[in-house]
Amino acid sequence: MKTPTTALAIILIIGIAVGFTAGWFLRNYLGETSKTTTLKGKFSQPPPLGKEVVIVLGFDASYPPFTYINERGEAEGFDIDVMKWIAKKYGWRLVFKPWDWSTIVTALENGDIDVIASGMTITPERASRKIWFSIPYYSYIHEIVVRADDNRSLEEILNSGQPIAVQIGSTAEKWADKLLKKGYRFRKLCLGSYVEALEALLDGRAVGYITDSAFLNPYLSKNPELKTKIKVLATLGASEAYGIATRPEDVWLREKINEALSELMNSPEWNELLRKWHLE
Amino acid sequence: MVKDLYKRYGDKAVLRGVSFEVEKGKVKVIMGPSGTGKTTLLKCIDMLVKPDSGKIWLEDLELTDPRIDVSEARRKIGFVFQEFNLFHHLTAIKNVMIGLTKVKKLPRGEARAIAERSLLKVHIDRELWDKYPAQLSGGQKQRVAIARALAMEPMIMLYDEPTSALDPQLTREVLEVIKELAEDGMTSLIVTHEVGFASEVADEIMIMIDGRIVERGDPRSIIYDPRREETRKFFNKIMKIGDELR
Amino acid sequence: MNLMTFSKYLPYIFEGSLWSLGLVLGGLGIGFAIGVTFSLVQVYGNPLLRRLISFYVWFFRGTPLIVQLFLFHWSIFPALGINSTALTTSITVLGLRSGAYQSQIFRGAIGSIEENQMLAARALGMSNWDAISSIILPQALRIAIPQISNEYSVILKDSAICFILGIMELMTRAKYAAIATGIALIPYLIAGLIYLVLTYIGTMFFNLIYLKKRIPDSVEG
Ligand SMILES: Nc1ncnc2c1ncn2[C@@H]1O[C@H](COP(=O)(O)OP(=O)(O)OP(=O)(O)O)[C@@H](O)[C@H]1O
Ligand SMILES: [Mg+2]
Repeated sequence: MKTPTTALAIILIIGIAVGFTAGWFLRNYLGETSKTTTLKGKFSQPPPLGKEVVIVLGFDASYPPFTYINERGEAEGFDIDVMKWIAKKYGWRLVFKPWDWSTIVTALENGDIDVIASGMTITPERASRKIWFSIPYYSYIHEIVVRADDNRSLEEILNSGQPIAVQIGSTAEKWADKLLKKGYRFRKLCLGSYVEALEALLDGRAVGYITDSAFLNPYLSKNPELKTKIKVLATLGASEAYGIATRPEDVWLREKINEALSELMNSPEWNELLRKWHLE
Repeated sequence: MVKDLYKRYGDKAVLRGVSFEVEKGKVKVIMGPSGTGKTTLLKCIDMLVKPDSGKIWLEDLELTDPRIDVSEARRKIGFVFQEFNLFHHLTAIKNVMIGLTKVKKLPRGEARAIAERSLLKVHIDRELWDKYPAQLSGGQKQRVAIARALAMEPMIMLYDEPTSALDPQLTREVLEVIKELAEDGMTSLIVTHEVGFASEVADEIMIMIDGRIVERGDPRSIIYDPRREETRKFFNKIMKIGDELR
Repeated sequence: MNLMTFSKYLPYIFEGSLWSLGLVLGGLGIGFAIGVTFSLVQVYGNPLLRRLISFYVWFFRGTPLIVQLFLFHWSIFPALGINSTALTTSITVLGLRSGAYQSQIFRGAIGSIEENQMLAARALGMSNWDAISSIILPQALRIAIPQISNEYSVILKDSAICFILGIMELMTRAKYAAIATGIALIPYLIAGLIYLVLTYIGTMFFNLIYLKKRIPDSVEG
């Protein structure tokens, strides 16, 4: 090293270079998608003719059979199939972006993703503020599940002071909160996914488990050995429905999705899809 | 040449008007009790510590002039520390070379040649050149430190108690080197407690007490016939310690 | 679902280690550049800059990584008009954060070097900058190697937090594989094993540098 300044300069350059090379490497070889630009009303109008429509689909990869990752690392599931069908109809290109459920709404708002199709329940508070839903495409009911050998009543379970497992940020957690507010005495055990919450029930960390039929039924038909280990103790409230979430401004996109959904749901393919994913 | 130097740390006045001159080729020794400002004086001369007032000249160059580049001036002054202060991460020869390459900007080969000559001059043999400071004895370290200062071809060498961190037998090898350099005509200013050594090398001994030079003169008269009471006391004290050690 | 199906997920999980490693090397590299620069400013810089850096360090050490990721991805970068992908944000934030920690590592290392080293350098006629770059820094960097190695293993585990921005690193992939197959323990154990291996490789690497570069401290050492 000729001068002392170069010594330090080289150190700094190496540091920064290592940083950015690593980033560049990841982007180019592992396929990082770029964030949506010019957010406001990106899909509020029909795009100019001939311009490819690229939709970044955000989903929680921990919600089989609606959305999960297969062994090749690809998105798979009922909602994925639905979105693929829609995209094919219009000739859109889909980019699949797994995103953690706890921050998925913020990611949608900020344009990291363009739609959420991930078994997302249409709720008034979600729908009013930040995201607007498509027409509902699947309905289900909330259930409270216990181990098969637990003979306590619903009242006893809810007043046991013991943990009841839910997925954090889910509608099941909302139900737990609602029940707690009504004065029941149990502890809410928040876990990262419906599957993890179910496991907590199975291995005894929780005595109860709040889920929805949309998750539980297909999961049980895929894992039949579980059917003898747990039982549905009660249902909670009225049935609820899933919708595809979009940003409020993206009027055109939502209309297109609605149009396609109605077409799909009235075609024989819909029942095939439901059957394929054990959802009928 | 030093004129009327003052320095205080906080409200402690360490140097209180010090003036003297070291003529070219001469060896001057400063002696005095601990804490009287000898180190401070040397550091001021090398501008490692800024004096409060007074002037210092290196031949025609006034070091205390605020407009001069002090790092430029410092390379003309060799400083040998009591604690050696070799650069820990460099081998003996690299310690000597670094001033030449970084400060004098000499090419590597030339710097190495000069470094080798300096090391040989202080009797550091080839097999020690690639050793790190931690692998050298105290006496070897101090001689490398002398070589490091010497390689810069200084106009004057300042030694601050160069042997007080060393065992007696290591002391001898270092003093030997300093003496040889002095005999070769190296202008030197030496702070030391070694009376015997001082009397051998010094052209003049200055006694410094409480920030002042209280007495000066040729070694013989200063050591054996001091005029001032405090000088006599000082010598009695260090001789006695010396006797006890022996 | 059985173990056979799960074993097909192994390549998917292994690929996650590339992402984790990318995040770590990126974060460590940027953090190193920031750490060295900031430590020098903190030791030798002017008081205003020192105050600013103290604030920076205080902020990055005092807030959880997850908060920093959100803040940068969804507030600071958009406010600055920077259109950053989740990955760029993750690497940058890991780098900024590690920079805060590394600046303290280097500051400590510089502080542990005796004052006299600087004095001796100046006595040779070196400018402050020469003395810092050829005497102080080389020693500080050597002294800091074990702690940087430690910082590596810390970021490696921190990088798992980037799942929150949809980064498909090791831990997230293990989780998705666990959920898709209904096998909980094994994917996480495998992820844990990979972390151990990555930590081991990294530590070995730093150890090697340390042995090559450390300052000998004993006779015949
Ligand atoms: N950086 C400093 N800040 C404050 N006081 C100092 C500083 N350096 C030295 N002093 C004080 O100045 C006085 C003179 O110190 P100096 O080191 O010059 O003495 P000395 O004659 O070299 O003593 P010794 O024989 O012990 O080396 C001492 O009282 C010391 O405590
Ligand atoms: Mg002293």
